[in-house]
Amino acid sequence: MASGGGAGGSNKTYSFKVVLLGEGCVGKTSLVLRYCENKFNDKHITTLQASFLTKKLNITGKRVNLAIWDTAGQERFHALGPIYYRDSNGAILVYDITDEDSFQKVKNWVKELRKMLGNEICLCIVGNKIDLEKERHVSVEEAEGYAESVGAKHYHTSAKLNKGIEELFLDLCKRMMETAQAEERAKGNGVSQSTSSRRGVQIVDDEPQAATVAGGCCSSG
Amino acid sequence: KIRKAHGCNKQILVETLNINLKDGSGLINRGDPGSQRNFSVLDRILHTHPVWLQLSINAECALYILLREPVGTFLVRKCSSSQRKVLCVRVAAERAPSSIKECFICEEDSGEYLALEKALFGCVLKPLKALLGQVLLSLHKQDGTTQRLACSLLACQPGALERLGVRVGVPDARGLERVKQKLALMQRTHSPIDKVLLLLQVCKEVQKDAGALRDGGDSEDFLLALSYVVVMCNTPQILLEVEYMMELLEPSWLTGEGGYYLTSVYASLCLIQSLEVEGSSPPPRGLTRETQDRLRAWGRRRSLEAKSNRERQQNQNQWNCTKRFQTHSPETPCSHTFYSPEPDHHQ
Repeated sequence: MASGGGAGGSNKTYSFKVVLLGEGCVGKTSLVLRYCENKFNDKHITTLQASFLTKKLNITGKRVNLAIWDTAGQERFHALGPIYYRDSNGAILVYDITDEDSFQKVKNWVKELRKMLGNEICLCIVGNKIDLEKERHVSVEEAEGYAESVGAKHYHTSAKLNKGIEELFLDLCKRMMETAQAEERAKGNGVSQSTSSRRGVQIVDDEPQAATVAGGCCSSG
Repeated sequence: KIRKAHGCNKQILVETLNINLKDGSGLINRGDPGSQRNFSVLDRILHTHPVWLQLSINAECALYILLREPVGTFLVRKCSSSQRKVLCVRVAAERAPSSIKECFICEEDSGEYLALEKALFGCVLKPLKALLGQVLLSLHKQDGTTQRLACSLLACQPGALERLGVRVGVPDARGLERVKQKLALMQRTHSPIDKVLLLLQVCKEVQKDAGALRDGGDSEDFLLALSYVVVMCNTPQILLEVEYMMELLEPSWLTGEGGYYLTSVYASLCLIQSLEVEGSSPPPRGLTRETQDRLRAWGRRRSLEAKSNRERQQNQNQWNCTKRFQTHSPETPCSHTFYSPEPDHHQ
């Protein structure tokens, strides 16, 4: 969950949500299928085989659980985006290197994500289908330059040839861990003692009138 | 010294109970401009754990405390011999030890506090379910959202496949009947976990018939097939179920598989309503203005909540019992502003 990536206690497990965005046929689904192929089984029930995938990693001794949310890519679903990307720790924005238009779509997503989620979300811009290098329509310089200008990282992948995918996810995880750790440190410095263990009782103090109502329920229950 | 401790406990236990019983209003007070509370039941449980989580007390002490409290009061203690946590609940009015029910909380491996969660839902939500249901229903009646959804569902029915642009297989009449049964079961249970498990079964049914999904279209095709099933089942109450789950599920569930498919159902409801408003073919921009506004308001509120919850999380270090809550928890699931007629109140 969000920054919850971080964890209390000594035995740290990071849980991150990563959302996959990009136009319909840029291959984002095959990208993530390739990555998660060794099918995982979480605490969750029946893993439906489709748009939601998970992966467990161990990075420098820390356990990381990734929840990867695929989204509908067609333009007509664009407005549903916020429902899916809320609370994400990372976003993977995929375009097809042979399709200039799909790169423009990525730019739109970047703008929207930065606006809605700020700088806490780790962005990866991914040029997929490098097996089709000959038909490339998005130049490497342009893509990398753009990524840098918006504080994102750029990657080249081929789901078909299984290239660059492990690196992409590993790198993203490390960045999300750094973000979570930085946030923990900030929290450690910024929080005063005043709001400690008395919070439970404070709720009641806020709402005297509601407490009266509840009293009625009490006696009847 | 002991008596003093008991006195103190007694007071806070009474307060805990009050908090729990007030949860109904906590969930539904969305339109109240003066309210500073936006706490879900689970949020309250998280906030109040210093009160009811009394690991150091023994069975006699628990008995002593609970026999002075109303039926329904609970606490969690630790069994000194087995080192397992025990949920103690006052279940009957008689002043006898038999009025206190004790059960061990299962904490093994992948069960991961599921038992604790379920037990708490049983204590807190079961008695409240009917009340919550009524209030949710009347609220949605008031702001017209169920009515609107009912209209959209009906309007989408003729030629639903074409209208939605479904390109994959969908459940037949028997499949739809099975889905309807699951939805009916969902309405009967009080546990958001059980509800979401049923929801996953529904999604599985949809996915089974969607067959081998093509690359590049998985999410679209699934969402459309799901929307079709929602239309054909024609149960506007699904709105209340979605809201109930999004409000009460523990946050880590919302990021997991259950959360993903719950989100998909919500997305399908948005989609269905946007179709009805903008005509028979899928609109180019996907969502109605109104839905977009709601989402924006909801997003703003979520980020505020996230902030306050992160602060809260910082103050919870001592609570090892429900480590899972801490680990994932900065946000309170809260869907109700989706439907709020006056989103400004939540800012």
